[in-house]
Amino acid sequence: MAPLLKINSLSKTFGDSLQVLQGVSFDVRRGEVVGLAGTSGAGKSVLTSILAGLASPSSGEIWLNEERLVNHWQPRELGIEIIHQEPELVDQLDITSNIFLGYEPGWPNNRRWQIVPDNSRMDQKATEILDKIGFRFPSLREEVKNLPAEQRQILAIARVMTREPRLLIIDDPSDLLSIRYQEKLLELITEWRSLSTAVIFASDNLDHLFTVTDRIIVLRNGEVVDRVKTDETTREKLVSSMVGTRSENLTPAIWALDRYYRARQQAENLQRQQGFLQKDLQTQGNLNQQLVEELAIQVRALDEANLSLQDAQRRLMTEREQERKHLARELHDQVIQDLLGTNYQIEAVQAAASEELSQSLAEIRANIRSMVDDVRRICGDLRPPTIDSLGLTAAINSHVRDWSNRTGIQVELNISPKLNRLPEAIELSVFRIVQEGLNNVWRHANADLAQVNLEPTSPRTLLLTIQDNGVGLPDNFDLAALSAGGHYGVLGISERVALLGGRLQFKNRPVQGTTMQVEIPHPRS
Amino acid sequence: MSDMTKARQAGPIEAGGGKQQTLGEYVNAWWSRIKGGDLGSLPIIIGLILIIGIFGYLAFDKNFFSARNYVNLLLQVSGITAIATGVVFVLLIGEIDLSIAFVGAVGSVTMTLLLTQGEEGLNWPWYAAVGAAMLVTTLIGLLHGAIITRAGVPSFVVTLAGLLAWSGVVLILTTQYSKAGTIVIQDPVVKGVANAFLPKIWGWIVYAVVIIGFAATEFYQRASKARQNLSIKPMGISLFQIIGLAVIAGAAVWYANTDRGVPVSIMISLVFLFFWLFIANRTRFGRYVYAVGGNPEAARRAGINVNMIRIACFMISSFMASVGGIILASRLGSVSTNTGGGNLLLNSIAAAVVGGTSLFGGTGRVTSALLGALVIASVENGMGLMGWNSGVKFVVNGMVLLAAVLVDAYSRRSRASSGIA
Repeated sequence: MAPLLKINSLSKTFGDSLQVLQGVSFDVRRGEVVGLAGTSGAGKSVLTSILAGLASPSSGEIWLNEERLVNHWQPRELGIEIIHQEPELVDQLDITSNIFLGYEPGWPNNRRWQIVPDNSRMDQKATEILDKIGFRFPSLREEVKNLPAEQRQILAIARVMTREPRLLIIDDPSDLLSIRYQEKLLELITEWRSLSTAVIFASDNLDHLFTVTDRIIVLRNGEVVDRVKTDETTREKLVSSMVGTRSENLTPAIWALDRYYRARQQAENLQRQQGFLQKDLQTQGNLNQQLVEELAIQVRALDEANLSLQDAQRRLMTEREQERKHLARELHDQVIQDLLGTNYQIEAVQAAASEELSQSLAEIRANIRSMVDDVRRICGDLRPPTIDSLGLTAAINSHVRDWSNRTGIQVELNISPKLNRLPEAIELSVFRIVQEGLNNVWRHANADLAQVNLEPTSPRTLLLTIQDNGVGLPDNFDLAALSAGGHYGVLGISERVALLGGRLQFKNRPVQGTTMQVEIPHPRS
Repeated sequence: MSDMTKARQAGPIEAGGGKQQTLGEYVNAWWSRIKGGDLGSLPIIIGLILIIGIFGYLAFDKNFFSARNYVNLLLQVSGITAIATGVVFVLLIGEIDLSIAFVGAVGSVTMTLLLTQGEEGLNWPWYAAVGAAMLVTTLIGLLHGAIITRAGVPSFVVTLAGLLAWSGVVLILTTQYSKAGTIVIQDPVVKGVANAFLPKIWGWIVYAVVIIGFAATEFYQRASKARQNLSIKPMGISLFQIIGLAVIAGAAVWYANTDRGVPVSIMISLVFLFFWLFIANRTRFGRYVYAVGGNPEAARRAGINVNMIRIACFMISSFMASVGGIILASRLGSVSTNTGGGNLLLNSIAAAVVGGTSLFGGTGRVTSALLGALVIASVENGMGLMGWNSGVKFVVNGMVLLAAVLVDAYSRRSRASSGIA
């Protein structure tokens, strides 16, 4: 069977020197889809516009069905339909009128003599065609000047479908179409092929070319550089002839070509997903809101629990202090008075006793006195006797002096004279911290010198520093691990500091020894 | 996102679903069209009422509202309407025809010469003379169109050359036949065109036919829209339009009948107007005229022979120019060296533009010729009654034309901003 379209050494020159097509020849048979591949500027669009009768060739022949076409033919009269890269529509006419423009069905049913177009038949046919494309307009009466570019391109495709063309020329319209309608167009091309329409499909989208074409003609700089059967080629070979480089350097070129389309596809998918996401987000937003509210409630409950726990602990500590105070008073008022009373009785007995007995009694009395001293010391530990009457400074002073005497560790004590009386709970806590701190120095530090500083850093905070020149902290020192080792002293300090809302810090001094720093906030005294 | 949104926007075809709109919906749709700048005939109708009001006030004691003046106005309107109808077609394809006044004059002079009687006369019957005049002018239009399309010269230049050349032809023809340059029309039929009036009963018969025809078309359209599931305007609006037309046209016929009756010339113009209205709105040719005016490249690609349409429009314009020329010549009863001169050209083009036909092509209605001619003729008539000098007349005419063009430009702009354009 003779080819439907035969192109013989077609050339096109603009001006004197700009040769955009050189000796292009090929045929197209009925029911065949021929792809025109080439990078932009290869001459695809010039070729299609010559075939569309828009431009005349400088030389060469075009034969359609054994009939030579000469300049400025009207393609639609020859059964050639064209989808251009960019559609041309009449803005002032409505959708239906644009689809059927030039070939309105009506009365009489002959184009040359047709006078009165049949509007209702056109509307009905237009609806059928648009359904086939998968697009519905709210109203076919809309003037097309109101339509966005993609819908205008859809109208251009619909116009081609009003007739059964012998030859269809498609000059890559996919720039204006979203992926969905690009795929629709590929489906339609396959359908036209089955109706034995010849299709020329110019595109630089490899996916599209490989999907629908039977043969591909590759143009480069206006010349046919390759003609291949689609089944017998690969993307690499095709791209190498499109860009004209050897295959080693090809991968980037394929990527460059493909990247745009892939990116566009991805972008469209993303846009779609974004749409769904936005919907989902609204529902999720509500869910999140609920979760956040529940969390807030739980956090508030935790806070409350924590507060009551602290409260309980504070009460416990106060009670313990009260208990101690009570115990100390009992010891002082009862035990010591009893011991002293016993001492006086012994003294009275001693006066009447023999020399030898008097000796033993004197020893007993000395023991009793040292017992009284011991009990007094215990009392002092339980409840510094001076703290209630003379305040924190005096209490620490007397405790440090006693402790220094007892342990033989020299203590430098600096208590800022600016320190005023503080609430009882705080004074006691500070005293206890000093007590525990010094005990630690004695028990663990192996030091012979300690330094205790107590000063107000602001009207609302108190800084207590206890330093020693001992062995320093072990490397694995960790407050949390202390309880396991039975070091309740440090834990007791940290507990007290926490209850007062202060900060506690242990660190090794640069040369030797340890520094314990406690910062305690207090209400204005 | 945008692609998806577009796809989603498109709902099922024809939201109307064959239902009748409520009155509220119809009024809302109409109002939003107006707000969007799609003014339709509204500005020209308001302008007409304004002009009649102004001259009714200024020239009241000079009988502006008298039945006699009203019939005179109708006589004045008919010639301009005929010429402006042709101009609309040329404007619709985005071109201009400056030669119409003198082409019309060539037509009327040709006719008059063919009608000359006596031994030296040509003694043609009136129908042959009129037919020949129309043929000659149509061929002149063909010539203009052919030059414009073949040579690709702007119509402005070609028809400007035509204006000069055809005015020369008019001079040659008239002075050749008579030294005075005035030739009297001797045929009674042709003289009757602008000087005869419909018998009163015929006026009413024509009236009845027009009203019944309009009502029938209206109801036929409603029925066919219902068949196609299109939305239909409320029955009340249809009835309102029919009754409104019946009342206005009835008043027009009745008032003309209180004087000499409805002039034959206005009936001739109206017959041509309705004929071309049908051609423009209902036929393939009319559709192509709008297409060529809107986007010539789209029309060409759609397979329309653009040059043929262009040439045809220039032929229509010249043909209607001869119709108008004959009516005007008949009114004067003679042709002279002055025929086709004066401000006839500008009045005719102004009538089409004032009526709402865009100078940019693709938009406009044939009926705008009649409405525009009414405005122009009313102004002319009122100023004539006031006895203003021609300087003032030109200034006022210029103002009216400028107002019309400004309304066109502003409605275009608000259409653009409201997204309708």
